[in-house]
Amino acid sequence: MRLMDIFKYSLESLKHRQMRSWLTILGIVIGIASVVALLTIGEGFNAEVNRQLSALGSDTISITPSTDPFANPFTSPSSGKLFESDAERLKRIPEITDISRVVYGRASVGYKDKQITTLVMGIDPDVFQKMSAIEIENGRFLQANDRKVVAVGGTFAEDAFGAKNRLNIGTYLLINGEKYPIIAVLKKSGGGFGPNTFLDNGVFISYNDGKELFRDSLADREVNEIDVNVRDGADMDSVVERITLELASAHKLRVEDKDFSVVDPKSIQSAVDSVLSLITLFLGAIAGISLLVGALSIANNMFTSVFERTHEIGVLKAVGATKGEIMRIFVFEAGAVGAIGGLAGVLLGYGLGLAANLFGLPTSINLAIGAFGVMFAFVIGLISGYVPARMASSLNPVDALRYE
Amino acid sequence: MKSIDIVMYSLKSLRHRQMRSWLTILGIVIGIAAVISLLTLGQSFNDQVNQQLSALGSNTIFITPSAESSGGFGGGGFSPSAGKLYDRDAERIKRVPEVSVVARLLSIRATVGFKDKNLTASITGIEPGVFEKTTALKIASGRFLLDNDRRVVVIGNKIAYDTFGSRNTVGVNSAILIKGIKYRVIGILEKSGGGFGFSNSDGSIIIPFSEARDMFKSTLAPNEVQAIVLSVFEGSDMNEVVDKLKSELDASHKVKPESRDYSVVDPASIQNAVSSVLSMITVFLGAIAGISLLVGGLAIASSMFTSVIERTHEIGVLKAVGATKNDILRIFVFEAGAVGAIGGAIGVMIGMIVAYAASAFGLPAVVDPALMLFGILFAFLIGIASGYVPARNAAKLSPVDALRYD
Repeated sequence: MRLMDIFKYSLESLKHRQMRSWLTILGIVIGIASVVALLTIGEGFNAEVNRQLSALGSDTISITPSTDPFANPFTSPSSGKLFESDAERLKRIPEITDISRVVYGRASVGYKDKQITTLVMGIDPDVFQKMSAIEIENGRFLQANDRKVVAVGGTFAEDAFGAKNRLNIGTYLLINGEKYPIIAVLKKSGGGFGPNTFLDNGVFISYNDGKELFRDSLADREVNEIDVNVRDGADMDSVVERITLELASAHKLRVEDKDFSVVDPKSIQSAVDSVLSLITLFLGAIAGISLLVGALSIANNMFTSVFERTHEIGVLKAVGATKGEIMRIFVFEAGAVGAIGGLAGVLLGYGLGLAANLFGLPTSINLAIGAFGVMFAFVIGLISGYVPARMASSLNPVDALRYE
Repeated sequence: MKSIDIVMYSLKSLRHRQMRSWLTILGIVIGIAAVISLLTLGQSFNDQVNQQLSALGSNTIFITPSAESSGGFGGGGFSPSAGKLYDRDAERIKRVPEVSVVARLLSIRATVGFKDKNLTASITGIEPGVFEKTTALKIASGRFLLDNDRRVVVIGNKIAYDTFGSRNTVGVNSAILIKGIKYRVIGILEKSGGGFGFSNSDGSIIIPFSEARDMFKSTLAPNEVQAIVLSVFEGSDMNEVVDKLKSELDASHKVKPESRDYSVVDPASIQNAVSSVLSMITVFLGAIAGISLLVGGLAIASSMFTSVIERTHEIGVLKAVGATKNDILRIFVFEAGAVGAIGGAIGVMIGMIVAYAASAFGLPAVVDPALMLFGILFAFLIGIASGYVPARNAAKLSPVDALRYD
């Protein structure tokens, strides 16, 4: 028999079994739809997070004094300390174009008669601005020689002192009792993952003012973080390695004992990516259990089908169908159940993903997921059909014909 | 027919269909096992977290300067506080009669040195006598701070054994430098493990309140405190105490409830919040795994439809010898229910085994008989629901047509 004939024959016999086929297909539809919907939503999250992380600037590297780059700098002990001399030392690396020292901490900030405690960052303005995705809503950002002036993040300006007390340029904040005129309000970067929350709630002053402000919690010439910009086209991995070597030798430590981390945006991005992908895969796998059940249902259905059609198989064999042909008819029939279910399931899954989008979950329709879903369902069908099909193909034609 | 006859008849016909029955049952087994193991693991995790949270002390209430909308803990240091707390707030809440002890807290980052290593860590300033009554912190070696102690420090387990390197452990009587001032270690806390918020004390460095205030006077406002922790008398109504505290503080801060610039956090409310989030996650995972039960139900229905068609003649015979419509309906519905229940029972057992296997990785599994019962019952109901339509088809067959069918 030609392959085409086998297809037609299989599909024809599916049509005859109406109710039972549809229930089996429905099982696969449900399984595939739930897997596709979860993967679609997971993919959407991933895309959203990546979009926000890319605001970091793709050629910036941060150095922090903790071996765990994701440790909370306000609660966990650091591993060591960074100093201005470390920042100086990095100038030896030719690929590094700019270096910003950063000191930060929580400080008392007052506006009118209200006082709060918040994160204040002392930065080298020109370099810092180049590295972060800072956009100005109002005013101008700090400049190299500015002293005792402050730039505030968009969310901070709006919320920190209540809706009736929005901050704007021309007014001033009291930072530890000292007057700092507000010279810039930053645009809100929106969202709320990682570095962007940080910008939106930030209070930025010059590095020297910051050093003075936090003199109690800083050692002599200590910095809390060093950010560097790398020349376009430089190989990030080798720059990261070079920085690690320089700082380890400045700290008189072997590289494996280093008391700092060197983090480039790509490594953050890939760390976050892999966590999110893991979660998505985990959820997908749990939903995928239903596909296993669906596969059992296909197998069951095919066994029944083989029994019911024993006589028919005998006739097919009597008119010259080979073992392989019988086998292919039944395997393909099972595959078709899977593929039809898969196709409907993918469409339903996309639909669910889009519906979730209406409720504010980010989704991204990925055609590869859909193609994978249909293929996967088809393969599941083929596998579940294999044993029943082998049973059908190995029937003895004489016995099969006699069977009623 | 008597019910027991129907049960026997159904089970017998299941046995005759061997392969098909087992595949259908296997589907339910997989679904139930997945749901049960996830729910069991979720429950165990929840129990463990609750146990850690109870280390906070059940009669303890925290007051922080963060907005209530942040849950009182303000984004781990990144978010602005809503206001500030002062000594006078600590004084004021002593007016609430249920309050037995009030302790002020300060927590600031500073340079900490041991031998030739310097790093930055959080220093907590506490009032020894009162603070100790408000927490469940346990000392592993040495002793806790006393009211008259000067220049001595109690450190968490991580600070002692890990922070300065595993070869550089800090022991009782070691000297550490805090902002260049020499402090003698007099106590090391027991390991608190994971933990949330204040319950994780492993990274703590605890010194007397007055010394901390002096050390950080340049970043603190005059008379500022960063948190207030208080104990209430045994048997007080926590909700009532929280309300009283809020009205005292509202008055002292001259704020209206809707613009409150502080939070009052009691452990029960943290525990409830965490529990409800964890339960939600568990239920969500269980529901996703439960999709497989839907598919399993469809498989039962499909199997029953086939069964009804195959046994048309038999149904005719049953009707001819006097079985009523209702008898036939019950036979088939019960058959489907039995498939579900058998699958459920096996699934519950496998689910428990999987949960126990997972517990080898550090999460103690909790056997919940109610959950097991629920699993079996649920599978039974799925069976009955899936069997209903095929059973009705069987019951509606005309006996004459059915007998003629071959």
